[in-house]
Amino acid sequence: MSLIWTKWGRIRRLVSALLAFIFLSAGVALTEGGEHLEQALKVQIRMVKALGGKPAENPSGAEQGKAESYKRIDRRLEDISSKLEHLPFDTFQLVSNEERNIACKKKQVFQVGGGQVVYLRPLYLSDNKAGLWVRWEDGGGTEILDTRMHFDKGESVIAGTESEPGGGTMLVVNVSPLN
Amino acid sequence: MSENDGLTEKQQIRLSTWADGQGGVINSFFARRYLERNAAAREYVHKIKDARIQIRQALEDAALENIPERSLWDRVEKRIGEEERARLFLGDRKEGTAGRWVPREMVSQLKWGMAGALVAACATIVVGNFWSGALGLGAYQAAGNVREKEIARVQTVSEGRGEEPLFYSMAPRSENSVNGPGVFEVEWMKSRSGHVRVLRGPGGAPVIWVKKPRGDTGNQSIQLVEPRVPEALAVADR
Repeated sequence: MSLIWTKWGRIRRLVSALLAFIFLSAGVALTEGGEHLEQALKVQIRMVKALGGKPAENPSGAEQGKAESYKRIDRRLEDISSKLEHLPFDTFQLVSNEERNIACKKKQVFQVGGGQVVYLRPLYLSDNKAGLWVRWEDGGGTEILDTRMHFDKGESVIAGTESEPGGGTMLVVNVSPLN
Repeated sequence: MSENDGLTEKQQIRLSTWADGQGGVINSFFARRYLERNAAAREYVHKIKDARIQIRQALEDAALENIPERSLWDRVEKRIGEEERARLFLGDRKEGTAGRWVPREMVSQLKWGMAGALVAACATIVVGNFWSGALGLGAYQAAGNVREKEIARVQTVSEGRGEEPLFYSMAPRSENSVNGPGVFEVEWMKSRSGHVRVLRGPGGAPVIWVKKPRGDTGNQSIQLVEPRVPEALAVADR
């Protein structure tokens, strides 16, 4: 009889601990992820083609970026020109641009041109930071980049690779709140 | 009673009623008159009283015979002894749970447990929200620490195979760190096409560059320039 009471006491403590764990888990989940559930985001993916290994000697024309850097940057890439000017290419040209409004933590597939595919999942967008998972594959399905990263809100993440002699392909990803 | 007693049936009824203390004034008048004038009436009443006494005695004797051997107090004392012996082995007796869906003690225990858990959950939510508001997501508080130290940590994967990660740790930024880049933290970064390099510029998120091995893009491989990034220290364990 005493053994039964002892076991019953253990069962009560176990059930109480289990309930506490469940409530705590729910609280943590609400704290960490609740505010990001169903959060709508605007994701922009741009494909950029970079050409030239040497600075252009006579920069001119509408595609001229910053004259002092002797680089030609597409006007549609002006927001990231400060980053592009440090890359060893002369010309940066926008190949494709796609914007989507997607829910947070929802995986999306982008066909960015040339058979290349980008899988993207925005993890969160807080007041000052953003989290993102990106998988970038070339036309043959080979993984160019697979990363999960966190960066300042409003920043554009640029990833690139060499696609041809003296040239490169770049991926520009931007996550912003849905207005 | 018979006629030999010198009393009629009507007189006997009146006398029996009077002996029982019942009947009205008229019955009592006639009964007393019989008793005064008739010896048989007095004898009849006397017999009735004797019979009543005998019956009462018989009933009392029968009642005494039905009393058990031990008195109630004996039974109580015996029960007390049993309870004391049982308490030695089983502990104090508590209210049973028969017929109750959930035992009362368990309900009380669970009530306190649930109340405590709710309080803990509320405290977790409040504290968590405070941290989230002050430092961004609590899960990425480490990123804030990284920003304070101006150290960027990246995880890359070796060329081609992409199975064994290399860990690069950029040295702390020096003069550019005051107004330098913000938070950039990588949980993982890998490529099956080549080396992954992270070029940190003057501001914002760095540029991630996948440098393919020679031959994949011809002989002229791009030579990347890493502006204002002193060096990248390889701390890989291979």
